[in-house]
Amino acid sequence: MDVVKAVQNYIYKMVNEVSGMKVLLLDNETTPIISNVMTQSALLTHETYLVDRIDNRKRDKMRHLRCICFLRPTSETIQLLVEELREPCYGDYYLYFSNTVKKSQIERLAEVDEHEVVREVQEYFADYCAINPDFYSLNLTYPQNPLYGESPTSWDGRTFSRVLEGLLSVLLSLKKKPSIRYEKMSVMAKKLAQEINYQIQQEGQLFDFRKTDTPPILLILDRRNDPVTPLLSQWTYQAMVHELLGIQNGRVDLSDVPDIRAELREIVLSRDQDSFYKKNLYLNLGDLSANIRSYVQEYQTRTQSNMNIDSIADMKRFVEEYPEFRKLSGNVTKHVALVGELSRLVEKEKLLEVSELEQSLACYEQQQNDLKNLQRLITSSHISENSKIRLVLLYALRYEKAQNNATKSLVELLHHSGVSEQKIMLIDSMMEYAGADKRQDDLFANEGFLASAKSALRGLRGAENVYTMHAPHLAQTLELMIKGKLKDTSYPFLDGVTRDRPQDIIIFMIGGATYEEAKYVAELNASTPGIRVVLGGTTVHNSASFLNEVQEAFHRFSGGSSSRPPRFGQQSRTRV
Amino acid sequence: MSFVQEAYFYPNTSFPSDSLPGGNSQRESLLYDDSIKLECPICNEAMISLAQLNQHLDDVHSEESNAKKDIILSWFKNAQSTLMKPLSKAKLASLPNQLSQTVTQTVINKLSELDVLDEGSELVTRSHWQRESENDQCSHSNCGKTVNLRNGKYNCRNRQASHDPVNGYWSRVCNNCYKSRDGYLDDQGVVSSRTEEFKQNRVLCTEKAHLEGNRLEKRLEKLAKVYATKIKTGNSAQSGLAPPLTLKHRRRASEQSIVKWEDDASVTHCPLCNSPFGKITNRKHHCRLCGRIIDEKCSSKVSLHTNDYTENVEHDSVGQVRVCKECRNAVFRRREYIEEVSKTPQVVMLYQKLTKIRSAIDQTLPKFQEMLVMLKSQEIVNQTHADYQVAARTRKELLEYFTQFDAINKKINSLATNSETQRRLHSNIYLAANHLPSIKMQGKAHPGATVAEGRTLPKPCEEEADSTGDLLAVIATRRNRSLSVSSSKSTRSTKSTKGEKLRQQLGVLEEQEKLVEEYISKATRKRKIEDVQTLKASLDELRQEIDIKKQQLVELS
Repeated sequence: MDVVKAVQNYIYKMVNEVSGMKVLLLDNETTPIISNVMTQSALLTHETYLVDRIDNRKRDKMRHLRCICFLRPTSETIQLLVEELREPCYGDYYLYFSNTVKKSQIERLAEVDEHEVVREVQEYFADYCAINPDFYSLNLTYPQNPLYGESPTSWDGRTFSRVLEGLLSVLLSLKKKPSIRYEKMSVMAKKLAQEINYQIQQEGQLFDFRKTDTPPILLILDRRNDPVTPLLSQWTYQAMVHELLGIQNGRVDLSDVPDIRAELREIVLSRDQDSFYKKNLYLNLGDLSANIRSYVQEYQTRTQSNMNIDSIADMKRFVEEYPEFRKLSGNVTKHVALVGELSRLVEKEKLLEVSELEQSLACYEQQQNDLKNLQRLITSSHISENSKIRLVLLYALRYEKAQNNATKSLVELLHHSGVSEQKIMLIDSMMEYAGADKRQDDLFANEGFLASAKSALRGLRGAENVYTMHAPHLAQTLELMIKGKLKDTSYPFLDGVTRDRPQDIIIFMIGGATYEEAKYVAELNASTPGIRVVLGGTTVHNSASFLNEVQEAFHRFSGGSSSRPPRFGQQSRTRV
Repeated sequence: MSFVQEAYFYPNTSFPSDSLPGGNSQRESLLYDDSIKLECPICNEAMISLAQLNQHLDDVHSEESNAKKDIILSWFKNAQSTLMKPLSKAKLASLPNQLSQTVTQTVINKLSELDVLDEGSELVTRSHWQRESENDQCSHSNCGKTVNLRNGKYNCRNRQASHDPVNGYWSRVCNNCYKSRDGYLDDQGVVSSRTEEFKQNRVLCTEKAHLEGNRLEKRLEKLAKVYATKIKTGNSAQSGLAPPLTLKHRRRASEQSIVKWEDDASVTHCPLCNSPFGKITNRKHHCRLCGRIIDEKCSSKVSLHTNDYTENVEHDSVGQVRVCKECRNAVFRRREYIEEVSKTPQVVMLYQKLTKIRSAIDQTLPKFQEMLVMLKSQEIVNQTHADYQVAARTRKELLEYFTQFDAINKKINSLATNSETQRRLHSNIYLAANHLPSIKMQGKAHPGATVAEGRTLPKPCEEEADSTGDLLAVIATRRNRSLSVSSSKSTRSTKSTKGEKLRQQLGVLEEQEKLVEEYISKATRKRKIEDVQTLKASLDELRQEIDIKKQQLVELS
């Protein structure tokens, strides 16, 4: 149950299949799949000396190379491949498709392969981006892949089939034939569950796995049930970088950072290559800063010892350590720049103050107190518009059913403080998307008497860190599930019911997962041996991309004016 | 943290499978059955209730040793808890503090004669259990905690049973057994091959294409024959009176006998590009292979050869005919493709050599390392010792390989290319090749291996020599290389070859001197004053070294 390893193994299998000089041919969808888990140098060590795109029509003819194609069998890619095979650029072709190839597509390819250059046609089910060993994403974002079709509860046809294929490939790459559970309130989750089940029955041969003690569970959730998690400011490294700067396929764009050095315009964050990142991925900013300080110190002592080369022995040591040292120095600069930028943004947008209120809104029932703070922040000129909107959204979601709901006055206050009209519209969109009636669980634990009492108690106890009190709703769901106590009535099985405590759980979040949830899952995996959880979603959201999706989708359905809603602040960075 | 897991296990014993109770995958029902069937853990006498068992234990087994009593007591507690809890909770109760510290023990006890039933099944016996004592410790490698009744003590059931998800029972096993179940740590995803299907389809399609190609090829041969004979008659006719026009006409007749030409009047547009024909601008042409009418753009002239098409020489040609794009493709594409594939560019040959040398290095290097270890452990310093000489030979061999490897690699990198992609290919091969041995070398801090290290490690640095920041490193590595070579060589080489080696070293040093001078001029141009200083310092050292070598040479001769 390690998605990164699963994808890597597929790729190693491809490049090890043939010896000799090779070129790797990718398409626009398989490129991120590979770049998330592989580096150029790893490919080089397997004699893969060139990597190119199949849609690049200006490739040189190099018939002495063998060509490994890793492609997604979409109609566009098949068309490109047909053209390629008509006039082959390379000697032999080994075709690997990331998903099931249609019979008609096979026939079409066979027809054009007059030179008989194709040696292998295989299906390797690496059809998703593996981000962490227990976190994957299908990279489906608005506007290229809109989630909703005719209504806010129906799938967009193309996106649906992509999700279906992606999720099937996750199951196949992990060799799991699951029992499917889904969120009952979500029409989309039910449809996906049924279709997955149908496909598994259809592809009986592929899903013929060794029997397990208890069937693995595929749990299909809907973002709608927890709109709060993606709205919160994040303080752990990976989540924070994504929230403030955006991680795209393991890359972070720093070109907007003032005074950034040219080589740091775009940096790569890779768990495999970067041990510092791997170690600190889930640490909060405080611990991270301490670690980065010691990292820099380590670097300084190394530099000093490298400075005084007096003897041959010194030189030898220097030479031996040099490659590692260079790597270290590059890495130190990278992380220092990154953390520096994070701190700058936190300072600039007064995120500590904002986050404290966010957490309070998300976790505790303290309406009067929070309202006062909220009003203060809205009128403050230091707080960014987006933060204000997020805070009001949190308030509106939590106190939607409260008697003295002050959302209206807050909206007026937003108007008053000059927040743009279109952003304010988002509050209505959000309530329509994920208001209390749309959610199935008692997210804020304030609906029943007992629940609210519990939540009040929690508030009294106090937490050690006010910025990271919030636990995603997923935590509760998973906890119940692991204990075997998750209710059938709200998370029904598609067919068959098992009371066994699950051992392997695969989660798919319609509408996108977050790094906060990924961190929770990673911690759960580390602390509970015997349970393995893998989380994934249509995409990985930060607050900006999440609000964009809600805005764009619901703007459409509310029959709103023809003008396009505004994009949110840093969202320009969250391109695909 | 819990080190206990539950999984389906089935005993390895030779019990016939029909002795299994029905519906055996239902854990609850089994638990229920077992807990009702009470038996004395010592003499296996059937009991009706716990109270009776308690009485029985007191009466019959009271003289048992203390240790055994302990076991009985703890078993009794287990049984009790199993009975007392509602069925669905039975399992939870047996995992009292799942998230805190529960521990397991897995060591086999050979002394125990007890044959007590497992709470989970009749068949997984306890005969292999580690005997309980006062101070048991968790045998999980990372834990080692003392186990007692409070944090829960378990025995791993896996010793006598194998994992069987179909017929097995829920059994408690240790973490290691849990993880070593078949397929649990399988990271190889499903693979589905469509190659056969593809090839079958391809045979169907290409057969047709090949037939068509062969047919056209035949026609081409016929055309060539026509042209060849006509030219002869044409030559003789030219001496007479026949005008060239009639020659063309006669040819046309025989061309048309090979394939029927399309009627001029029936075609108004080119069938391939769909552009209209005109009288002057876009004239009609006939393809000599299929007879269709096409325009100028969509056709080309091909040379005819009477002999086989293997020779591509122009003067062999007996004439040219016009053929359409499609026919040309059908006849020539395959042929051209095969021709091109069979041509091996220089980089391929070099690369093959490179791979060969690399595999040779891969074979020799570990051997050499072994020898060094052996030499060191036996403290052989005598240069005439047989083992020492073998080692020296191997080292020489290795060095030779490295030099060759280096040379070929450099050659690949400097190959002349006419395209960006090719250049990228070459430099990538170069990079990867440099990377490979250096990875293998790392972690071998053995003094004897310095020669090898000196040769391979600096390469990645040379790569980046252009960025002046790395100059220092380059210099240092180069220096190091030469020095380590010289130091190891001077101690090991025999006198007869000493002079030769000195000369070689001198050559290397002089080469480096030149390089450093180059770097200095580069750095001064870029106004990197600190770099220049360090470079100069190393240049001085190099020159000193050269002087010493020269002196030694003089002394020798």
